[in-house]
This record gives sequence, structure tokens and C-alpha cells, in this order.
Amino acid sequence: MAVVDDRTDEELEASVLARCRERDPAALQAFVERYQRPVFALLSRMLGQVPEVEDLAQETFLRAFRSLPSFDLQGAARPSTWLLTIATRLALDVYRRQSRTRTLGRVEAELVSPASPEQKLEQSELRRAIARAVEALPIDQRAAFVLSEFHALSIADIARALDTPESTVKTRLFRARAKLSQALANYRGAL
Amino acid sequence: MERDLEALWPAAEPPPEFVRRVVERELSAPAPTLPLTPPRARARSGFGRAAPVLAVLAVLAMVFAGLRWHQGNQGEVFAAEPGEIAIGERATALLSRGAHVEWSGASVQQDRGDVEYRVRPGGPFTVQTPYGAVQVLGTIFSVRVAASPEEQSMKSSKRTIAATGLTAGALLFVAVREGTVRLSNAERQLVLTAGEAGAIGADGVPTRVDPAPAMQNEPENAPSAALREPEGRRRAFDRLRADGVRQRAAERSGASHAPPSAPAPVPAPASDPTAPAQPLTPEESEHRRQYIRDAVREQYFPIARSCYEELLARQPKAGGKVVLSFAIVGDGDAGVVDRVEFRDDTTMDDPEFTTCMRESMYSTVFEPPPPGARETTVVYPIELAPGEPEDVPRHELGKVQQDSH
Repeated sequence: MAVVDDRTDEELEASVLARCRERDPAALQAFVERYQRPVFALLSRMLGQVPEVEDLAQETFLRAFRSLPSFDLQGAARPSTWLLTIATRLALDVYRRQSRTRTLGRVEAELVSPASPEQKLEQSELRRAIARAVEALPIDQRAAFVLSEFHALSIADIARALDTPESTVKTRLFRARAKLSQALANYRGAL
Repeated sequence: MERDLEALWPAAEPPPEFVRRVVERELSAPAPTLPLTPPRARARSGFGRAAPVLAVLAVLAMVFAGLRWHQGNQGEVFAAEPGEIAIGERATALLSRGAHVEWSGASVQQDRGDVEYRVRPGGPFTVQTPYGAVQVLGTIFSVRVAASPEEQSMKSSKRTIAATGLTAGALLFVAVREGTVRLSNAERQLVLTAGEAGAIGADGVPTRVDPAPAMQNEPENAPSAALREPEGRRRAFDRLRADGVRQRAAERSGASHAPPSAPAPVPAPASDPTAPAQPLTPEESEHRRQYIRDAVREQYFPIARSCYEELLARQPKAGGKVVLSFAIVGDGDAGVVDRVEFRDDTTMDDPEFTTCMRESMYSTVFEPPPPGARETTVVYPIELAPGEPEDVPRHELGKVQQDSH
């Protein structure tokens, strides 16, 4: 499985974003191609691998296109952070509208790295354990954890994305990590 | 965790055609920089049965002159020039150039442009935009909605951003001149009262913003610009009538009960305020109680429920008793609410909630008091408790109700 890494992928150039404002098809395509994987990753980790993820991903991009005229191309904000903020807000809204007892989609994908049968079993159990542990997190803690661990957003960026004070983000992250650490204590050797 | 979480917790991958689907959807939307582009086709649940001929004519009108059609309580307007329209029986809208609205009853869809609404009392009134909804909660309102920046000129975009003070820009901007409205997007809500403003940006969160810049720096094509035109297309709004009713009722009773902001009264309509008092029979009295109960349930309860749900969003365990006291005053052809107060046995005191409840009551309209009666006073207790959505608000009809002669 290819790994999404927002931390190393470069942002699109401002000139491409400017052409997106003009609705240049090639620029729009480049924009979606560049950011589709982090958006899917974020949404699926927050909501589970459910069919709504694609709809929400589409909505994220369409909202972003509508809002591009107000995005400061020369400013310090990274387009990926801005886009993930939109996706996060959408995911939270959808989650809260839907049943609060919903379960995350189960992880079905297989690791691509070669492993012995024993290792595969261990990894499979570990994946399920991680999915269960994250699923048990309150949605706000889960969002903070995903944005921090998988998308490398700063505390300040997460605070903006979740519309909450930085101190609250720190608390949520602390509690999320503590709960995960406790839930995965039996797998400590595998981590 | 030392091992790569990415590998241990894989995420969903975009499907192969995802990029193409998104780009096609974006390009199929109307070009935002063309102010007279016809509105995109969409399902019209309320008035989708318009004759095909009408639809064709509508499109032609949109392209060449700006669209305007009405059919009873439904219609659609795409404004080629600033102008004023009536929306149903209770509202008028001042449209800026390029604004587009569709409405059915008291539900309006506005997908672009600046529009200033003035809504008379009489129940819920909602303006739905692509970025959130504005719901009228109180009595008489003047709301200006600025749609997405890309659908306006650069000048108006800058004005909107400056007005909101948001670095990210505002997709929806609402300034409230009178009354109370709720600005909402999904579960997030914000109640705005007179003199306040709110905005929804790309993040989708309703935020209170400084209204002053918006009030001072209206774009040239703002709806209210039409009001400054010498020929003055703005007609006297019916809110004057409601305030006039209150004012005359107050004058008759020898006290000034009119709201502080009430304008000078307009000439009284035909009425019969001096008719001799005719005490109601028990049957008539019970009939009137039932009528008031039904009117409150129909008009006030939906809004009161919204007030309470908004409070629950902030205070999940909030509950208690609200005992509203109000007067129904009128002079022959209308009965409007006056002097809404909370009695001492009210146990809920959240300021935002009580404002919402009080202002909303002013939007309820009744038949006038019986002939010869100066006013009808009503005390209406409402009990509210969380966790019982089907029963909220629980209530009983006011135990005190009397007609003053």
C-alpha cells in the first residue's frame, strides 16, 4: 500500500491555484490529483471506510473551488491544511448528523510488505486492534489524533480546523494517545 | 509508536475515476464570474410542476432580461437590475443586480447575490443558501445575505471580507437590522439579534462578526442602494401596520407599550375598537382558548423548539419551565403580540435562549380580540426537558387568560 505523506509532498504552486480560480480544467485536475489521497485518508480515518467518504471528498473539493477566490495564494497557509480543514468540518458535521453509535468501516486492505505467516497474523490482529481502539475514541479526539499523526498538522492548525482552543487540542491529543496506548498495551512489542 | 501507523492503519484510496468526476462536477456548475448566467437546473420540489412552456419562457427571460415569474406563493427571480419583489404574503426582498432567489411559501433558496429581506410576523421563514441557512426567529426582520465571493465582483468580495474581518473570507454574510435570526450550517447554529452580523466561511462554521463595516460600506449594487434612489421604489412595509396596531392599543389603554423602535403609526385601518363590550359565553371563551392554543402550537412551537435545541447544543442538560406572558392587541382586523414577558416562576434564564423565546413570540399573529375588548392577556407555561424530542416543548395552555375591556 502506498503511504500518503503530506509532510513530504510539496504543495501545488500558486500559479496552478490561480488557474484553478479561472476554472482551468487542467489545473482543477492537478489540484484534485495532488490532494485526493490525503482527503480520502482523512475522511476514511475519521468516518471509517464507508461509501459516504467519496461523496464527502467530492464535496470537499467543490467547496474548496468555490472558496479559492478568498484563499490567499501568497499567504503562509498551506493549501493542504486549508483543504483538510474543510474536509474535517464536513466529516464532523456528517458524523454528528448520523448515529453516534455508528462503527468505523473495517480495515480490509492488506499490507504490501512481505511477511511470514506469523508476522501476517500478528499484523492483522494489530490492525484490527488499532481500528477498534481508534473507533472507541470520541470523534473530537479522533479528529485531533488523525490530523496530528497522519497529516502532521500543528497544534495551531488543528485548533483552527476544529474551531477550538489550542489547549483543548492538546488535551484531546493527550487523552487520545493515552487511550490508544492503554488499548494497545498488549501489542506494545509489535509497535 | 515506532512503527509506521500509515501501514498499520491503512486508509481508503480514491477510486480511479474520482478526479474526472470532481472536475466534471465543478465544470458543470455555472461560471461564477458571469452575473447573468442562468441558474443551474435543480429539482424544484415545491414548484417543479410548472408547465414546460413556462420553463422555456423563464430561461429566455433569464438570459436576456433577468428572470421574474410568480405563481401564487411560488416564484423565481434573477435580477438583471436592483429591485424589490414580494415573496409570498409576508415578505419583501430587495435584490441587488445579479441576485437569484427561488421561493415556495416561506422557504427561499438564494444561491447568489445580495438580498435584503423584510419579513412580517406569522411563522417560520427560511433563506437557504449553498453555505448555510438563515431562519427568521423573531418579529420583523431586515436581513442582508451576501452570497459566495466568486459570484460577486472583486469589489464586493473585498467588502464582504472586510466586513467580516475573516481572513478566509465569507461565503455567506448576514446582517440583522431588526429582530432575530438563526444562522446555521448542519448542526452549528448562531442566533443573531438586531445590530449583529454573522458569517459562514469556507470552514462552514457560523461566526459572529463585526456588523459595522458592512453597514457602512455597502456595495454600489447593494439592495438598499435602491432605497436611496430619488424615485424611491421602496413601498411602505406592512410592519408599520403591526406596530401601528400596538401603538394605537397602547394609546387606548393610556400607556405606552409600543416597542422602543416602533416608528410613527400609520393611519388606522377600518376597525371597531369602540364597540360595546360583549362578554363571551363559556362556549365562546373555550373556543377562543382553543384557538389561541392552536395558533401558538402552529406558529410558535416550531420556533420555540429551535430555540431549545440550540440551547441544548450548548447545555445538553438544560431544562425547566418558561412562563410567558403576553398580550394580544388589535383594532378590528389584526391581532398582534405585545408586551412579551417572563413571569417570575420561569426557571430558565440563559440570555440567548430567553431572547430567542421572547422575540419568537412576537412573530405569532392571532385574530383580533373580541369586539369591544381592548386586548387579550395570556399566560402560557411551557416545560422543557432534554431527551424527550417528541414531547418538547411540553406545555399546557395558559391558566390565566382574560379579555380586558
